[in-house]
Amino acid sequence: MNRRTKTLQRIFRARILYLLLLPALLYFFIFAYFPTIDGVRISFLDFRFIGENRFIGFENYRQAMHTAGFWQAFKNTVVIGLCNVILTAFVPMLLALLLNEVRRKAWKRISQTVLYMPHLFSWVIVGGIWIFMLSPNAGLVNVIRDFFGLESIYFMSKEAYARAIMIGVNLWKQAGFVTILYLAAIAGINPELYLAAMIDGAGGFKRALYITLPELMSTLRVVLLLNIMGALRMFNQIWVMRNEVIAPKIDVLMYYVYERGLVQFKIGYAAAISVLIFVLTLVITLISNRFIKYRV
Amino acid sequence: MPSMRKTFPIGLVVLLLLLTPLFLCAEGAQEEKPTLIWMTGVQGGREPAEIPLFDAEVERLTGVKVKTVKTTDDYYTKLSAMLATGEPLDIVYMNAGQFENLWDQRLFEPLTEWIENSPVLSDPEVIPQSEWDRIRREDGEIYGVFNKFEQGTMPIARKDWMDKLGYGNPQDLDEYYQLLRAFKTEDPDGNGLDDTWGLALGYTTYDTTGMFGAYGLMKGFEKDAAGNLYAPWATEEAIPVYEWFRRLYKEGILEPNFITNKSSNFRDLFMTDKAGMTCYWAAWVGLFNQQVKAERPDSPFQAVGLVPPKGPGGRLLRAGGDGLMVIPKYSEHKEEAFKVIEFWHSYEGNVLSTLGILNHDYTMEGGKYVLTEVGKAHAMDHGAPQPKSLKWVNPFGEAEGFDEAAAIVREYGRPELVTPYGKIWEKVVRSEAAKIILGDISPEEGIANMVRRFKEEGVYK
Repeated sequence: MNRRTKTLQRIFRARILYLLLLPALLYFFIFAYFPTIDGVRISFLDFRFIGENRFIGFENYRQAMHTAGFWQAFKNTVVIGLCNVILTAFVPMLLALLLNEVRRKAWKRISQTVLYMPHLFSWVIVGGIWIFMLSPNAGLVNVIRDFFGLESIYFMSKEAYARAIMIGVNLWKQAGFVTILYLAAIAGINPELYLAAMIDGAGGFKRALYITLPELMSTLRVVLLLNIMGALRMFNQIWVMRNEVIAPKIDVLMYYVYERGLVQFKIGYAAAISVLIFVLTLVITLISNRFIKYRV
Repeated sequence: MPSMRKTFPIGLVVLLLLLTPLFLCAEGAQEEKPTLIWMTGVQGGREPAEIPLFDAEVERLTGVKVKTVKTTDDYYTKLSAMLATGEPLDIVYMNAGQFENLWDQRLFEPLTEWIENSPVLSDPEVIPQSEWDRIRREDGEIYGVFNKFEQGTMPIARKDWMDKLGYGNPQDLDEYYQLLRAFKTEDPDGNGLDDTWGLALGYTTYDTTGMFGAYGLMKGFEKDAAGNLYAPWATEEAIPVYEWFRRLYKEGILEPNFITNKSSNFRDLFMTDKAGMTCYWAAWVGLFNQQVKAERPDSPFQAVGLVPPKGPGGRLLRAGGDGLMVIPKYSEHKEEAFKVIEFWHSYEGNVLSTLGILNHDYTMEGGKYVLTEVGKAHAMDHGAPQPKSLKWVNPFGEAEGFDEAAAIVREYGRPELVTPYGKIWEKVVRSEAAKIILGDISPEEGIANMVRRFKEEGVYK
């Protein structure tokens, strides 16, 4: 019996399973793969809502490469994205290690809940909270500054603070969720390892360094990969918190796509940028996956 | 022979997959009268539950079955998506800026002949000929019909505070400054606290055309003698106005969140006795009075629209950009769609667009209109609180202060030139204006930055 026949037989034996998979596959094809493929097609067109769509080859891509706005958005995406990836991977790890040392269960639960709550809020609420907190007259940050005799700063009007604010607010929102992931991983560590380390005279710091951290590496790999995949797709936070003054420092590629495609109706051009984002995400994810798998 | 245990699940799945399209086709087959799809961000029911009632009322009054697709949040994102996917839209509402952005797509049906043959729309006592000529395109055709009287934006102040502090209507920027300073420093609300601001704005410069108008400087773009676009607020003539705002900010008269404030923020500041003046739509003079009186009947609150400051350039306000109803070329029900658009400007249409739905927003008692509690809550706004028709007289009268404000806009208002670069203007001018007002850069530097950025964006040649 040749290989092809064997394969067909295997498929036939599992035919019910394949049939049951069909709706899910159809869903992904219609709502994920087809739009992606069609987006690539549209990126080569001078897209019109009605009438003929003229094929223009790589003109949309060429235009993007020669537009200062695209490169500014790309730079903003790289800077903010990279900081988000690193900070939202390692800061929650530190938080998890600290939380793990809290002995009283009630305090631990309260701390976890308080840390996790921002993750539940939508970006509209989070953005509104922080725009108010940073406001120059009634915002908490400036009230504290005023208490210490410092001058009020209109943070949301200063380009110098813009990226740091976006990164900091994103960390505030996401840290709790990632901390929970790390805490779950820590809970799975064999307690006998800690016992053995204590017998050998290892203090809390050494136990964290030589037992807890190595055990968290697999979770770190997952977190880094998820962060990298999401880094180029930032939009909600920027849309909520941006204003024209700080926009040059924080407008990211996805916002650029939104502005060009849905506000200025340059659908073909926006599709080209989307394809570039897709390719970049794919390449970075593949490279990172390889690196993280073997080095981290 | 395959057993029942294996055949049954396979058969069930296949049957379900086959039957689903049949059910969908059957649902479609039940439609007899065509249903027009009316895409809008402002017209129609005030809440989701009221939308079908609005549709039924349109059908009752016109005989045309409509389905309004109303999105107030991110309307243009949804509109773009629906246009791009070829959704069968029959009537589409859009503002003049979006119309310009879509113009190159050649999406719109010319309506000139229908308008000229319409007894309602061609009546100059409903819509004057000059208004139609204003929106006529280069090819002589008219591609949209107005939604409502768009009024304009203007300075709106607390009349009760002005009377209490002994200030009359300010006439120039100096008198405006004196008034705003008084709102800040003279405790106009009488609570003994330093908790009021002179002026509350949003989006940095929204909408301060009245102040720039003292130097004859309109918002947006104008054309120079050679026909090239330029932005009046990005010229040296605007320096005195930027310096005026800068002074307001430095002296703590301008509410400091003017960059991040949204419309709701500065409206709230004005209505809650935190600011003595704001710049907003003339219709809001009436709405401010209505809303505050409804919530706090004992409040002395009284909003009034002010004549803009006079300067070397005269006086100028921005009259509202047109909201238009268009019919896409691919609509399969163009005649019915135009019938609905024409109805919108008839007396019955004016009643629907203002008071609302019979026996829901209002009732008729002895030949008189009586607003229900629902109607009162809807504040007589179902898409055109001030209809375009010159014949329209609101049976309840206009909200307090609106008539006077509208008269000021009619006298000094001029629509801005509509271009596809509106968003670029906002991005460039607002950001540089903010830096000037904050004192981070000089007005000269800010204006030079604006010019440079307009060149980079390809607006300036």
